[in-house]
Amino acid sequence: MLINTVLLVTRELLPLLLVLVLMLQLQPAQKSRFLLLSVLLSTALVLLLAPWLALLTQLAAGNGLELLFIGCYSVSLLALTALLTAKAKPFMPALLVIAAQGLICGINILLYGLTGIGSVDKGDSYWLGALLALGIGLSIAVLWFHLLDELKRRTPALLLVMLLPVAARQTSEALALLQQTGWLPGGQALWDSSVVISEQSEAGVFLQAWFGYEATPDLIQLTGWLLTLILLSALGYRCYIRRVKNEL
Amino acid sequence: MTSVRRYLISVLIAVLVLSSFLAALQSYRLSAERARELFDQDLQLIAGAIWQQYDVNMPQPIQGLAVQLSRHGELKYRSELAPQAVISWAQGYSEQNFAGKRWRVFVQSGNNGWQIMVAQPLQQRLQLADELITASIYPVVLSLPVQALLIWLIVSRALWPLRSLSAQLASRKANELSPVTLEQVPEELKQVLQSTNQLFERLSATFAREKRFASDVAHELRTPLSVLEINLHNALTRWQQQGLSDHDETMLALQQGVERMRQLIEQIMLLNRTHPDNFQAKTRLLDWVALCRQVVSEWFSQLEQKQHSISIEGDEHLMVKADDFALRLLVSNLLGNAIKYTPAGGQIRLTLHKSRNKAVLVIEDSGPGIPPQEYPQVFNRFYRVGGDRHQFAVPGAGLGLAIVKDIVSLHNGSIHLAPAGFASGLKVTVELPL
Repeated sequence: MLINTVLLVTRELLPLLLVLVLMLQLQPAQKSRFLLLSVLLSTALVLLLAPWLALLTQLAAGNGLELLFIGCYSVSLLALTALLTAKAKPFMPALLVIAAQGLICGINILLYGLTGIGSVDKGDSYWLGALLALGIGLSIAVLWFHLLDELKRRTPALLLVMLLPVAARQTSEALALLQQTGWLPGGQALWDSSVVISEQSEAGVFLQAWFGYEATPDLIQLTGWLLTLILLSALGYRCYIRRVKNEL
Repeated sequence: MTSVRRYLISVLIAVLVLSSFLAALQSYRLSAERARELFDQDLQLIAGAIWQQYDVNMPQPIQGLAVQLSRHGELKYRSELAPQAVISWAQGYSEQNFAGKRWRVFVQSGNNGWQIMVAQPLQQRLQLADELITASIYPVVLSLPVQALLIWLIVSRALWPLRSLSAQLASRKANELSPVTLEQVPEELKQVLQSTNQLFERLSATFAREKRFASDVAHELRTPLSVLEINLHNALTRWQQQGLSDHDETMLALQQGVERMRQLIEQIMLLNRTHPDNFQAKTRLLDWVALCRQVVSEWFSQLEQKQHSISIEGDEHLMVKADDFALRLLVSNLLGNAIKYTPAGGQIRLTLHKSRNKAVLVIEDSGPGIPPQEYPQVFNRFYRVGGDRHQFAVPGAGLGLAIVKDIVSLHNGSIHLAPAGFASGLKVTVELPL
């Protein structure tokens, strides 16, 4: 169905676009170069892995892809920590974040296009759904870019604060995948907020892409999310204060 | 914000696409719900119709549907697609799995224990609904490029006066201070335009006043100075006739002071005249080599007096598009400096050649030269190497190279200083575009 395609593609595309916009704002002088390199690197990685997808899926008792994604989220988290604590705005960690997110997004969209749910309703509605998702994703990215630009102009440090929910999302996504593979026990949902904001709704998809919103989080996911947020906040604040003192 | 136009276009298109696509999705959801109700109603109608026509040997009902009829729990009829077992006993609508598919089932009970079950594949319903609804979304998607183009055109048109104003200001020369005019002035730009034009007016008046003042002062000083120079000369002549000697060289010092002041006034007037803000260049094709020869001949008496040897090397002719007066002054100032600062019996070399798309003049002398660290300062007005108490006691105002720099800028050229090719001295390279 068209709506399924829209939701699935948006859910994969939006986290990448939101992070890309944030990284672009952190690269004030080299936006075009960064954008070009990000697109090239992500595409190259996806194309490199595409022929091995079947094999990759069978690895580690059928958890190969999940392991790859856990690796991507971990790399992203480390690179985001480096960005948060670095004095200058390093180019390489930002590029690493995009490469990792691009790989997850690319492989998932490729899988959806080649097999699975996508195979059922391939046709006009599939392409139309993908186009709608792309349009929605890009529009949100453009508006997000201008919003961050405005925030940056008012308070430059806010841009660093915006890294925190993105980093927390990496942890909760990695933990969810670890639970899915059975390496971590799954827990009972602490609450169910799907009545207020459903994960299937447009707002739910946006919030999930931004900070990893879960309508029914369990204890492990929530703890991981909160710990990342608190630890990185403390680390980032310490580095920021030290930098300000040095500048003075 | 790098560009208001880019900002407006990107934000407006993003908002348009986002709102259109979200509205299309919402409409899709509502239409899908409505289609589901309609398909359910259809199932109910079909069930009613089959019920009325029931016959054990009745032909297969509508294709793609599974139909079963049972009485007191015993299956009396089943269509080709229906399973052997009863699909569902639950009355009304439900979803069931059989024959490898998921089905939407409607069950209705009648009199005497009769029950009818009509089922339709869920996938078939979804595809039908999708085909119907997506057709209504296409126009939304297809019209977006047109709407985006319209936004681009409208924003560009609305910002045209701003771009026109910016282009006019950017294309102005430094001395162009006339008011800016726009064909149509939007309300938002009226104040900006008014303030800009007022600023230009004030600036123009200030420049004119400054120009007139410098020119008037220099001109007014020239006359009494000439009188002073003549009187000094006459006084010195009378002294000589009366056999009086100038033991402490008071008269000589006076003469040198007046000469220096005369030179200063001349240089100030030339500086004022050749400044890019004031100078109205009348460029034409000139032979730079011939011009250099003429300037050398003008300086001949000084060259002879100091026993300098001079040579002009390089191309026979070098055509350059320049203002005659300004170029002559440039060569004269540079050659004058070389003659003045080179000790008697020195060497001066002028080289003229073409390099890529530039005409190059190099003037070298065997004088004391200038320390490289002072190269950038010598083009400043009134700057003299070694200060006022110049070690060579050469009279000068420190304006010659400033005038040369102005003339070079006027012709979009460049000037560089370097040590000369002689044992000592200065090498001045002037490059003018061809």
